Order: sequence, then structure tokens, then C-alpha cells
Amino acid sequence: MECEESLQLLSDYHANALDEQKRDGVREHLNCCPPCDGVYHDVETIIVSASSLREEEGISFPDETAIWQRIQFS
Amino acid sequence: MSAAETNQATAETKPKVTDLELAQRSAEGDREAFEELYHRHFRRVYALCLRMTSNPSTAEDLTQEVFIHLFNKIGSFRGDSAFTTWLHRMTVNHVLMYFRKSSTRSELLTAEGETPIQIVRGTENQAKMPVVDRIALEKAISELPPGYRSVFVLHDVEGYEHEEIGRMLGTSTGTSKSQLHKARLKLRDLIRRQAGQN
Repeated sequence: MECEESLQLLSDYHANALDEQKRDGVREHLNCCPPCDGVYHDVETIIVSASSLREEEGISFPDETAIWQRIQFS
Repeated sequence: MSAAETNQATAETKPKVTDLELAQRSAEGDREAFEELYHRHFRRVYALCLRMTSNPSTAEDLTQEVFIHLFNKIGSFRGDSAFTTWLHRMTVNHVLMYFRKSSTRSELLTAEGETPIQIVRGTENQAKMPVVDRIALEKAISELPPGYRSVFVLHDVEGYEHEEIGRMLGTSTGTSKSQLHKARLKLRDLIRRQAGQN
């Protein structure tokens, strides 16, 4: 499997959504292609980091009461 | 036990009113019940609007609109799903409607012109990305094109499945998957550029 096809399939590979042949093809390619393996690692890191964003930590919230006042009188 | 202690103990053990009960009371005209719902869910709605638009002012306006829309539709909530799920979907649809009004459809879906290998730069750089901090990721998400951002936020942040994302965006499951993959690669590129790793 070449880099182009492997890169195309990385998300499906991560989601375990490939048939056996393609899955093995990607795995073998990642084992012998450090750049593509690096991309896969980075994508995994982003996916893990993204799921933590569901929490509201780090967001600066506007004035909840002021918005409620506007809703009440709309 | 004194009267004060009894009242406190009662308050602590008194079951919290459910969202369904508040919704039913709101539908009957109970403004206090609706205000309680508002305060319970304000932060979640705003956070979602902000992540999808990357614009605090727009997110504030949309949040206000969502709750006005909620008030008008509260009588239609039957408890078939969790209230949070119902409100969440209402919020997403409202933001997507905003995108449709303010963008062309192609901007929302993002052209399929880029291929993954074109997006991926610096593949020669074998240094793996370190742990991504929240600020760097939020900044990178805000720089994504709207179409990529919508799919990424809905799937990787909010946990929607591609079938539902496709329905919400008016596209296919396959397009949603393709957009997500490109969004992830684009984010990788943006984060690496921020960190000077490209």
C-alpha cells in the first residue's frame, strides 16, 4: 500500500471500519513508513484531545443574567 | 432536631425537579420553571454555539435565539429522549441554519478538492506531535473552514455519529466521514504550524 492510500484510510483504520485486507494493508504500511505512522499518531492525539473539549472548562461565558433579561422581554 | 435542621435536611434530600417536569410546567406558562431550565442548560448551549461558530458574539446571539425557540417549542417535548439530547439537537440545527443563511452551501460542506496527501504537509518530519493543549486545539479549530469545523465539532467533540451528522448537514454519511478525516488532517497541519513543527 502506498502513502496516498494509507493516508486516505487513516480515520477508517482508527475507527476499525476497514475490511481485513485494507486494515492489514494500512497496518503494514504504518509499520514501515515512519512519516505516515507519525501522521497516524498525530491524528490519534487530536481525537483524544477533542473528546476532552466536551467539558466547558476554559470557556469564558457571557453574562447569563443579562441574556435572560433579553429573552424575557423579547 | 430543630426546625432549621429539619428544613435543611429536607432540602438536601428533596429530589431535584426533572427537566421533563420543568418542561411540562413551562409549557403551561410557568416562567420560573423555564428560567430554571435556562440556568441549568445555558452553559452547555453557549459552549456548543461557540465551538461551532468560533465567534463569542455570534454564539451569544445564537444562544439567546435557541432559548427563545425553545420556549416556543417546549410544549412539543414529550420525554421520548433526554431533554439534554433534544435541546442539543435543537441547538445544532439552529447553528446550522445560521450557517446556511450566512454562507453558500458549498462553504458549509467544503469543497472536496483537497486530498488527504495534499493536506498533510511535513510528512518528512517524523517527530510526533506532543500532547495537544486545550488552547492550541481550540485555536486550531477556530481556524478551520466552517464545513470542516462543523463536522469535527459534531463528531469528535460532541460525539454525534456520521449518519446523524449527514442528516443535519443535508449530506451523505460518506461525505461526513470524508470531511471529518480532512478536518483532522487540517487540524494537524494547523497545530504543527502553531508549534513551529512544520
